[in-house]
This record gives sequence, structure tokens and C-alpha cells, in this order.
Amino acid sequence: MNDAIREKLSAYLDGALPDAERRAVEVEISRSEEMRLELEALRAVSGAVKGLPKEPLPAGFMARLEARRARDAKPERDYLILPPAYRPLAFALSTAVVALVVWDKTRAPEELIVPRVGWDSEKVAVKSAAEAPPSIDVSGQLSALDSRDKGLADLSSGSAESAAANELTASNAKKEDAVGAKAGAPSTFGKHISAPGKPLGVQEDEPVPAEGGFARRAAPSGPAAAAPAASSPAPVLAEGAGSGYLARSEEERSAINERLYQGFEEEKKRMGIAKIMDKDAEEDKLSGGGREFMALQATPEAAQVGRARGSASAVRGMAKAKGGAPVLKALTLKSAEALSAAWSAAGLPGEPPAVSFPDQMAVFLAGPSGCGITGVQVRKKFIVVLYKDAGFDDPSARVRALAASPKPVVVKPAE
Amino acid sequence: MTSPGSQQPVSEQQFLDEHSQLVFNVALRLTGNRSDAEDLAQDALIRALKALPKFRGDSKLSTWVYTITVNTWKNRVRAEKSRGFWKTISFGVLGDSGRPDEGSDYDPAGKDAPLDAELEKEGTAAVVQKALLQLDADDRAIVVLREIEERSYGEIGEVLGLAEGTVKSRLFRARAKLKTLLDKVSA
Repeated sequence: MNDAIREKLSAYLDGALPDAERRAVEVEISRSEEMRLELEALRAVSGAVKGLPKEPLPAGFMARLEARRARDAKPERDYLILPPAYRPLAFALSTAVVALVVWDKTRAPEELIVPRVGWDSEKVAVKSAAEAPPSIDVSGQLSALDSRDKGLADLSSGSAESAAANELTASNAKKEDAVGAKAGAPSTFGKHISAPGKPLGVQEDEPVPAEGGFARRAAPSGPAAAAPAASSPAPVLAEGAGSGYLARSEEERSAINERLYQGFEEEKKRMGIAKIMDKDAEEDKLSGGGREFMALQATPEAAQVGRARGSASAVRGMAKAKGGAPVLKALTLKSAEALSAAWSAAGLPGEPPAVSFPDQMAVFLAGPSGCGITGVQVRKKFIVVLYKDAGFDDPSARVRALAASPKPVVVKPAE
Repeated sequence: MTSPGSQQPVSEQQFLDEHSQLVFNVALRLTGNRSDAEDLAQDALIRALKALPKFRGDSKLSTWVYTITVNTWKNRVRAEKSRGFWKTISFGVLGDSGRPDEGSDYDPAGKDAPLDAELEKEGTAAVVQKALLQLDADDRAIVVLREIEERSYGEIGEVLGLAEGTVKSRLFRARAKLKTLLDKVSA
């Protein structure tokens, strides 16, 4: 029996055959036992499916249907977070972020950029506090010159002379720190002094003390030098660096600033800095003539410090020129001790000329041998020292006595 | 909204009263379990209610409802297939009793059938339902519409978008396959 006959039997079972075909099938069924059995089998299958039980609607079906209809009646939202209109933007942003991260991860590491602070900081090797050189030495003027023209080179080359001076500085600083500790001032040695280029830094994770702990790069030794620290502890320069600074009131911040200023002034005095001159002051009058401004002016205390700090090497170093050109510097010295120290530090023979301190002050020309002062002009805001760098056999030509004056000194070659 | 031919308006409530049971029965035999059947029936009824205002009466309302129900089910089957789940043809969907999955909301004391009669048919019904679930989607729909809903070949063709001849031949093949499956079980 082929499938065509079986298909007719299936349709016959459903009463779906036309009358003629139905009668023909009935004749065949009456003649063929096989067809009859096949029909019965199909009828059994059909009956089995028809016999599947009818199930009533589940309890609560209509209520759930109504609830679902109410839920579906709300505006359809087929997105979870972003409306479709914003998806391209979100995709673009996320792609950009991924690209940025990938680029950042894959690019070659760049050399760390060292910020320029004050000196040529990138040339200065970071050293420990004990190794840190004095930023402003003995007589201020000498140290400033030494640092720019010679000191940095000494640091990088590690010359014995510079190392000796540094060692002396560290030793003095430790002594001063010990004095400060005895006087009740917190020790700051090795904590706040870091390296050139960051002279007054405070460790960020260190609690800021209420007072004291003023960062000292170099300090004189002896009771006279320790007295200011003991009697009036210097305020913390980085006092305002704490996170609570801005949260303080205006009066508190003013008080902090005042303490910082006072501490700075005391530090200047102790380090021998009498005045820091405005760089632009009367600059126009010196155009073509004034070669340098003295930013620092020595005080009598500076001479004492200078002797102890190996200022001789600094004075000797002054005569050395960067690239061979002679360097001259005029110092204002206000005591016989300071003059003697500068004289001997410059390696000059004999004794310096007499100067009637303290009514007078001595202007000392530090420079190569043979240099000398040809004249002095006292101007409104500073003193101009005219000089020649050769032709003077008498070393006393390096010294001029002037009436005591707080004005800064500028050197100018004589015409 | 109107009923076909008579053009009489049909309210939503009237529509639900007349067709909810019908839709659920078809859904139950197509899916093989009560929870899926209820979900499918509700989905189909909601779609039908939304489309009811647009019903033009070109066919019998029942045929239209069957069409929506079967199409909704076929869409689900396709979606589940695409996710790798075609649980509707799994043998595990029926309980050992042969009754389509007896969920918590299943009422064993159904109103339509006496308990004794259900018990007598329980074994056969489970086997038949399992065999039914092994037919492909169109064949299963043809068998359900013909044997359970007693629709004509023409009406079935209208629901499934098939010619009458196609319905006839596919119904024969589906019956033959069911016979083979049932013979294996009874052997």
C-alpha cells in the first residue's frame, strides 16, 4: 500500500474526500483487509489525540491576564538604561575611552619631566638631607654666586672640596638641631630638608606641627645662632599646606601667614641675608652698564657663619668663571671679622685696609687677581661699584670704605 | 470591533469569555505544560484584544484567534530555538502522571472531567502528549487544530497559511509519525 492510498484513507477518516472518491475508497476498504486495518490504525491515533483531556482555565487566569494587560498598557520601553537615540553617543564615548586606555597602555614610557624650581633642578642629583648642600651659605652673596657658577658643578662632579663643605654643613645642621631639641623645638633635621630645588619642603604624610620645625637648609652653630630658634620657635613654612588650611577662618590664616613671614625674616637674618632686592629696580638706568644685581646683602652675622662654613672655597671659586670669563662680585661687609674672612678667603696677602666699623661698611670686590675698584657711586636705591678686572697690583684696591648703608651693591665695569 | 459576518460589535469581555478557554486549550497542547500554556494564552489574548478593533470580519473570529495563537507560539519557538532552548519538544515537560505539568495552580478536581475518567486516561494521555511534542511546529499545529479543535482543512490552511492539499498530506504524515511513536511505546 502506497502513501497516496494511505493519504486518502486519512482524508476519508476526516470526511474530507469528495463523494466519488469517498465511495471508491469505501469499495476498496470493503475489499482489502490491509486497508481496513490501516484505516483502523489511523482512527486509533486520531482518537488518542482527541482523547487528550480538556483542561479548565487555571485559577486566577483572568485576574493575571488583566494585571498583565494593565502592565503592558504602559508605554513600551525596550531599553534598559539609555534610550535608543543616545546609544550611538554612548558607543562613541565608550570606544573613545577604550582607545585612550589602550593608547596609554601601549605607548612608550616617557622620561619623567622634572619641574624647574629655582636652580637648574634637573642637573641636581637628589641627595639625602645629610648630603644636601647649603643653598645659601655664609655670606649669602658668595653662596648665591657659588651655587649658580660653581656649586652645582661641584655637586654633580662630587669634588672633594664641595663634599667637605657639605659635610661641614650637615654637621652644623645636626648641631643646631640638637640645640633646638634642647630648647624644646621639634627637630626638623632630615625631615624637611630634601634636596636643592625643594628647599623648604615638608613630607606630605607628616603631621604638620603647630609651630616650630621651620625648614632650615643651613644653620650657624653656637649660642648666638641657636638663640632665635630657642626663644621664638620659627613657624612652619608649610603650615598652610595642610588640608585644613583652607578650612580655617580668615583670622587664623592671617595669623599663620604672619608667623610664616616672621619666621622667614628671622631665617633671612640668621642666614645673613639683609635684603632681597627687587630684580627690576632701576634696571633701566643700568642698561648697558649694570651687569649684575646683588640679590642678597650680608649682615655681620654672616661673616661668622662664613668662616665656619668654608667660605674660602666659595670665594676662591668665585674667581673661576663659567666658560672662562672672569666673575666679579662686590660684597658689603659690616664688621672687621667679615672683612678679614673675605680677605683671607680670597687668598689675598697681608691684612685688609682699615675700615671704621660700624659707622662705615666695606665694599669688597671678589674676583680674579689684579682686579680693583675704580670708583663707587651711591645712588638712590643701590650702590654702584665701578671696577676693572686687571691692572691692580695692590690688593687693597679691592676694598672701599663707605658710609654704612643698607642699599644693595651693583658692580659695573669702569669705562 | 465586530464579529465576522454578522458585523455585531464584540466587547472585550465578551471576546474573553468566548475565546479564553479555546486559546488556553490550544496553547496547552502546543506547549505541553500548564505554565507555558497560560503564558502563551495570555500573550495571545492580549495581542488579540489589541488587534480586535482592526478585525474586519474577513474570516471567522475563531479562525482569527487561532491564527494569532499559533503565530504567537511559533514566534516563541523560534526565539527559544535561537537561544538554544527548545524545551517545548523535550520529553521532560510532562509529569509521571501524564498530566501536563502539575503546577501549583493546577486544580486536580477539574470541572470538565470526572476524576475517574481522568485517571483511566492518564497513562495514554501522557504518552500521546509526549508523542505530540515530537512533531515539528506546523505538523503539531495541524494535528491539534484538526483532532482537538476539529477545524476543517480549509480553516487549518487559513490559520497556517497553507493550501488544503498541503494540510491533507502533512496531516497524514503527522498521523503516521504519531502512529509510529505510539507503536514504539506500546511495543
